[in-house]
Amino acid sequence: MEGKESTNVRALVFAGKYGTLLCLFAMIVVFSILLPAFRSSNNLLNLLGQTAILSLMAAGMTCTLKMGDFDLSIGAIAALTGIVTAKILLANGGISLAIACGLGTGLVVGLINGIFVAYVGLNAFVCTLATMSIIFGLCLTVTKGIMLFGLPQGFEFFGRGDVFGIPFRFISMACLLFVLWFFHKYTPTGRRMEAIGGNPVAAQLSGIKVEYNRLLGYLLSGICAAAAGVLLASSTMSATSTQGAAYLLDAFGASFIGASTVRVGQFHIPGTFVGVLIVVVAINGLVILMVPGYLTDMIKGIILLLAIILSGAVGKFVKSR
Amino acid sequence: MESGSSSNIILETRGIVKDFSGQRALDGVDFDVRAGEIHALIGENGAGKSTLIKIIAGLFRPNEGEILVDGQVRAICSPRDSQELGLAFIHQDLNVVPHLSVAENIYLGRYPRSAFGLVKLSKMVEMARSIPEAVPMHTDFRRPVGELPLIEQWKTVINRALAVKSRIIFMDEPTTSLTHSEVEELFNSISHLKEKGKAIVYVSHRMEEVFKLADRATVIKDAKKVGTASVNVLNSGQLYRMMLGRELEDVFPLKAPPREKVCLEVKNLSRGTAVRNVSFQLREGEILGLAGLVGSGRTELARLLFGADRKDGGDIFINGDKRDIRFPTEAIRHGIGLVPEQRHTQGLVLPMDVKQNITLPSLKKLWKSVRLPLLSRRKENTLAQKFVITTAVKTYGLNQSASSLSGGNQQRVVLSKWLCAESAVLILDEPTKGIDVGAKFAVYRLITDLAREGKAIIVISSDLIEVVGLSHRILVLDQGRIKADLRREETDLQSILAMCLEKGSKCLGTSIN
Repeated sequence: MEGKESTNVRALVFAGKYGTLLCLFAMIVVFSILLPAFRSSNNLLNLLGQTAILSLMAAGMTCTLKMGDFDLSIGAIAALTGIVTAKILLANGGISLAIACGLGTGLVVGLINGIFVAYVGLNAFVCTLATMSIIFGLCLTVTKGIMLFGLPQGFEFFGRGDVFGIPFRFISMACLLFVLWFFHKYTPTGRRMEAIGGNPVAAQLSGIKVEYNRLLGYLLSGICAAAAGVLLASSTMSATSTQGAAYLLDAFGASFIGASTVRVGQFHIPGTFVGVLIVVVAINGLVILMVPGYLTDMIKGIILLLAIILSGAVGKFVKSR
Repeated sequence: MESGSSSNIILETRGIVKDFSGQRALDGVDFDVRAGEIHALIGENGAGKSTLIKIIAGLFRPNEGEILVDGQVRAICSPRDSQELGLAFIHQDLNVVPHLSVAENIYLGRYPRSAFGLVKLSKMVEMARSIPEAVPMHTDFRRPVGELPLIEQWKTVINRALAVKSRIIFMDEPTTSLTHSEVEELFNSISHLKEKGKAIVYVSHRMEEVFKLADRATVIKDAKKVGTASVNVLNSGQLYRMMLGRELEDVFPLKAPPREKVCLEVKNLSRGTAVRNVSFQLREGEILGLAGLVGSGRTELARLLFGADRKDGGDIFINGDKRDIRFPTEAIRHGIGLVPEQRHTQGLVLPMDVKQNITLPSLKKLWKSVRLPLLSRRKENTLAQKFVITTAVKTYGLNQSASSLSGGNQQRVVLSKWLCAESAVLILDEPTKGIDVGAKFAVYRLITDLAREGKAIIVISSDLIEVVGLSHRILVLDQGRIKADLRREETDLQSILAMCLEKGSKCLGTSIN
């Protein structure tokens, strides 16, 4: 009786840790068997490409979530970055300058968020909600609500180009994610951030500069969102003020799925990437099945809800063991 | 010491025995309460204090023994029985309904009704205001209790007890979550109750409070009553012996004498009214105890030394050099480590594992090389392992999460943190709080050993026995000032206790005015 119970408990812990991975695997297998369109190499490459922008957004989000903060302005940062980049390109400023300014925009917004949240002590939710609204307003003012297009051909490469048949945007995302993962796992600063996420008071009393590290988290979030914004502008060869907003919810979903993967209850980059794959594969399958768009929105919401429940509940369960 | 007049005994228990599934929780306990006295009930966690109180309250039935009220044997089978006999019980969680008004909380469950069976708030407020002998409250009785400071909530519950004409009020560790000034206000209320002839049974482990308040004290240890004695400073030695079960000198390990070199010197350190003009020296290998009541500035002084708060004035010298300590980072760099009062919320990052907690303040030591600021797993394991062995943490591996360790082992991990950071000065704030008795002695041994190896140690504890037993030297703090700087050989528990209390009574006097 007792042995059986402990087997059940072990199965539950296992399911909690690896459930999301199994779910992803099952989805890929089922879609591959049932949908010939899904397993075509064209679609699979397309899938990889689609992970790029969401992964960048979600990875940035993970950097703040790790420390118990969050950043609602990432979608707005992506939009503003796209617009800044496009404006400079349209003014013949050159591709490298345009991208540099775009990324700089992300850093500036991250800096503002970080100062207000970490140093001034504003509530992260309210503060980034406010910056989100300000940035959207700014985007609308700059574009007057009109889509910017007619970007120079060379800019297309970042969002649509291939290297040895692999989408460039996937490669650039993979590099950035690797750097972030390495940063969190192997650098002293990454360790400090993890300590702050675990207990900010104990971290401070261990000599960690909590404010500084939280600011750093917002800078990372800003630069990731900006990188996503550049890729987004390049892949659509246009920029609008609404571009990017839709990614906020998905980024949340992916991060929380990540927090219910392997290291339950903690946000981490590899988990977040698994979360992104789940979201992207699910949506891709649904599109092939020709499920209407409003239903996919509902399904995304349900996935997010499930992920939050799992990361919280199973996390507590594992901790109490 | 006992007066022997049994005429004013209002409650008495005789030979109470209680077993819980074979485990004896109370073993023949005699206990009595006299009218108009404050009777302290003292003992370690699990000694049986709360079992005794629950039996008197009617929550448990004793296996043997009887309870007498006014000399008559009574069967107390339910909380209702004990209430009807005039007994009231106040627990730490207070049992108030936060969104109901003060008046409604006073009459909770017994609302006075009008002719039509309706509850009328104005009538209730009027009644609550005119409870005879009530503890005065300076609040609107219509306000929700949840909006009031904790002390007013306490008074609400005390007045609830008076509204049903209780004669004995039991209070369980009442000062745990109160602030310093609230503690004084509560003490005033308790004195008020005593003046009105009520008896109070006061459960506490803070000896200073017991000496400040109580008339008599009963010590319970390992399910048995050790004894009852009247409380005053003169017989504090007897009371402490009763609590410890042996002489103070036998409890604490032998100390090595401190070394010559002064490693920390503080001159005129000040912060507002919490710490005023504090100056002292600390030598290598010396254990300095900070004594004083809660709010005397002990913890505040520790936080100043560690840079967790900013000082208003004064200087800190480390190894003879003046150092500016504004942040914990700077204190750590200069070799000061703080083991804070709250292990869970201040000392440890619970989701992280043992090795990560130990190395947290010294991540620089884990760099792969001087040029390569990456964490080396090998160095981390070696370093953490070394201090796990030094402090004898019982763990099944360096990867065990800190949350799953016992209290004593968690404290060892926090200590290891500062040994790993090579702190020369260790500040220990309540080092044995919430640790069971056996593990306490092991922590004492560890502290003494660290001093023998040359660490300078500052110990803060609300357990005066601990401060006196561990230290080479004792600073008595009083409203942020150093009142006395005494060497252990020159003093004893009794005189330090007297010194701590002297201030307390004065303070109590001023707050009444």
